[in-house]
Amino acid sequence: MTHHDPLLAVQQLSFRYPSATGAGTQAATGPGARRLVLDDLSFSVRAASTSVILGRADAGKTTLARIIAGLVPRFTGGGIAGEVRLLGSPTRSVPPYDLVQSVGLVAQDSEEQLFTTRCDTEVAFALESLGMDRAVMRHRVTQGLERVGLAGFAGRNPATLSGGEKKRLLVACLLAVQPQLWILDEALGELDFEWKVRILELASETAGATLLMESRWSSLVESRGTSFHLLDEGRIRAGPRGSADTELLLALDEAGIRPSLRAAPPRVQVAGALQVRGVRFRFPGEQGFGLAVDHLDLGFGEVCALVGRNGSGKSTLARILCGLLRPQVGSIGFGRAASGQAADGGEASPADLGARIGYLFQNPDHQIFLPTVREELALGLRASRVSRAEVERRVSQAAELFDLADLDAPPALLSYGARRRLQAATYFLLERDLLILDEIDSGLSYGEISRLVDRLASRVPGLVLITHDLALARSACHRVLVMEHGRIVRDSPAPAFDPGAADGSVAASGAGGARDPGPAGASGTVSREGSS
Amino acid sequence: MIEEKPAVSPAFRVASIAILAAVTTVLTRVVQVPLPARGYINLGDVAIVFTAITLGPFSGAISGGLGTALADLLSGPYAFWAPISLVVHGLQGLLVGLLSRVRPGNLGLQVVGGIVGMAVMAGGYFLAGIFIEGAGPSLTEVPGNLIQGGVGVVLGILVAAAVLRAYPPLRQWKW
Amino acid sequence: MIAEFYVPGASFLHQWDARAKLLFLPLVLAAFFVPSTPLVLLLLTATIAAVIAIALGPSQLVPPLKTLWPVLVLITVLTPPFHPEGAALLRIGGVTLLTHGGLTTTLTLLARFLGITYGFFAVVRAMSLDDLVLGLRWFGLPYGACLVVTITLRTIPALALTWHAVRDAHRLRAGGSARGRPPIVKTYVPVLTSVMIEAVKGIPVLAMALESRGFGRRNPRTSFSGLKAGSRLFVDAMGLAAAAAALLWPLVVRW
Repeated sequence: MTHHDPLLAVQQLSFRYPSATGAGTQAATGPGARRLVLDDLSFSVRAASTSVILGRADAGKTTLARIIAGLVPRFTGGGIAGEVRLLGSPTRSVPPYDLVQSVGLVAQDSEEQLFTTRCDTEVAFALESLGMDRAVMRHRVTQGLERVGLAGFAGRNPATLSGGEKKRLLVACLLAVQPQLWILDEALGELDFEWKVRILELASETAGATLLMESRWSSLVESRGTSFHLLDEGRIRAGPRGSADTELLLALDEAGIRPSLRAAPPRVQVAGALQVRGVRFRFPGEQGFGLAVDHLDLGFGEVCALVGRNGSGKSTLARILCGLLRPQVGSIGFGRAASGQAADGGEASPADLGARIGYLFQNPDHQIFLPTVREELALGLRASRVSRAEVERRVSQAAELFDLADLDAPPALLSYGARRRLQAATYFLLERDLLILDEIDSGLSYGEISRLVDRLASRVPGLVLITHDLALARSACHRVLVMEHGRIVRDSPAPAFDPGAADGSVAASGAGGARDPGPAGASGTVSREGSS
Repeated sequence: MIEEKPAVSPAFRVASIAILAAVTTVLTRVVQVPLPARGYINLGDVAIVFTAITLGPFSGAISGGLGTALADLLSGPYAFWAPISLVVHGLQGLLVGLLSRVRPGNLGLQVVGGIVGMAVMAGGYFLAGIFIEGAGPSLTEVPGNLIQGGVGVVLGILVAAAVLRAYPPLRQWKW
Repeated sequence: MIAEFYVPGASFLHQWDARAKLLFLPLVLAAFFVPSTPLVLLLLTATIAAVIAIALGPSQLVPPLKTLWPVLVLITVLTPPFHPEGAALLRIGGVTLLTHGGLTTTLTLLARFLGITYGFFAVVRAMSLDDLVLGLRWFGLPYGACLVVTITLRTIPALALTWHAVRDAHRLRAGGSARGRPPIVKTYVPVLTSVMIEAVKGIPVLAMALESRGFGRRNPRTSFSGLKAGSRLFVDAMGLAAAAAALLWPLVVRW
């Protein structure tokens, strides 16, 4: 292998997952054919580069990352063709445990990759597998933890770490092993901006090459990447390109990866609001009230963003609003919008709240348990006195609206984006007055988020989006609420909300950092397309 | 295009036993189901029956025994039951798994297996209890164990069927 | 839910080597099943209780009693009628309620039950499950088994959170808190199904993580952490031998 040979070369790779029901032909097309997740895909990664593969949520980025790391189809089954060469040697039939020093993967969900009870044993695990001497291991573990800022964490249980700290721990595991190729599969999402930069620096210092998988374009990606590819419909459609390449940017726009956020859906004139008065809440064992909201009206008819760093109380407030948690003090009720001190609609019990307010968990799997999409959608409807034919009609309508093509597919096997849409579709059919969507921006591209919000807003009067993405908050919503330490510290109409001037505490968390000028800033335009 | 089947490697076995043992522990410790007539039961037996039916007797035995033993150790006062739970629930998982395997998918066999497992479980606890608490007190715990075991069989079989329908890859993971 | 009953501390019980603590458990069992008089057994129980009180604080004696007092009552009430041997000790209205044999057996059972409970309780309080796994490994438990236990411990808290989240999600979808007592099957089967699906989906993903970090390689594994050997172990071993002697002397005497 010469100096100019690529570190990673993928040639004409095709892959499809096993058929859900065990049936399905071997044919590539026609009825019963299984969808090709990757279709004759080719690309390469040069040494000392930071290559970026951009793609929508379900484009196949994670599948591709896992194939490169030798994990698929080993643990999933499926049909595969083509070649993957790492450092010149083919990896297709090599078991992953023999590729430990060739490739290291950090997944989007850190829960998937942490399995011991101490941070130091977590980092040491791979070294133990390699049969390293104990003194060498101790040195590497200490050094690894230090470099990611977890110096004192050796004895801590990884379960007690924050999301960002868990990601850093996984990077420490990579630093200890020092594989040639680093693959970061949407791995930077939970990190503060400074740590995102730092991790990418560490990667370029220690790795032979870095491969980033991202579903969204950001200035960080733009500044640190050396070559860019777009993965769409199973192939590399654009790239390798430099970051300023107009063809690439156009392709990204089309795929919905650049934040060409539409304007918020028009405000609906619906009377009624959810009124929060004098609410105080604390968890058992807490001193003092962790959450305090004196006066909040969430009007039916507006799309509201709820932003704040992790731990600011967003999820707790959401759970109180839908009746899962009961505040010790104060009341929540339904009334006319923007009324005075007392809730004029009377206090609503948690049961009443649950009947009218919906909460979409970040993990859509929490509510999936039926074998087909059709049954999931029909679940709530069957209980009400609606005829069979009407149920069928509504289910088909919802499926079409939310791009759920196959009504007989098992929901548990759908991609994350599809499961999220299914979740939204079920609540769409349940006709609630207000829906709270938790962490809507994780794993979905801007285009998909806009479509989802539009669809929901067409029937659901009120929407609350909990998000880290300040640009999304400003463009897709009418109003922005900022939470900090359990209190609402800002409440402004969206156009007046300036992400750049947001409190450092808010801006320092999640995808949109304060020092990150924000994706809208880079190109200067936020296109205003009508809803399609 | 080459079709590959999922590999059931040692890593896969470790992962499946560990995760299902954890499910067993959580369902034993965290979940308290109020019964119409008397007190509370836990759902640990649901996990054992589920594991035995879906993954087989070996998994059912180990994750069932380990899961309940850990639940005992984590409770404090019941810690000394851990070695007993390990054996008793391990046997339960083994028997349910073996009987359901005779003809996979056969509901009747699953029910029989479940009942046998439940009887062995209640009987095992009873025998051990004779030495620790005396025959009388140990006997008073048998009805509760039988009810718990019974609920475990019913729910375990139903949930196993539901999960096999909703998540088809599980059908291939027998070993 | 914290997956640990262990509370860190600096008592002599905590500092006792994990291997010694592990050996202590079967020793306790043996001690209480060796044929002996109730007095000896009660003394044993009292000693163990004293150890707990000194090392962990007297308040730690309460939880087992709080949980298990019904069993103690049952033993006291149900044992005498089945053991009517020996001289009568308590007679009311011509009915023998308690005999010498009954008293002996009752006291033996009470002491045994309480003693074993306290013995295990003390160990579980003063030893982290990580150390327990390390100790078992030292005694020869294969690596694969130790790994399984570690991963199980790691997975328990996450699954507990999943359980609660799934319950909430199902409840919300059904439209708020259910009125009255919902039927068990109808409520729990969907929730259990969702939880099981999520758990089972995690299996291949966890297997991927394990093999990515080298599990399954043919070369021998080295060990990053281990129980300290050396003088401490010797002292603890001596202490354990002494304890064994103390606990089992009735057997020795009988021989």
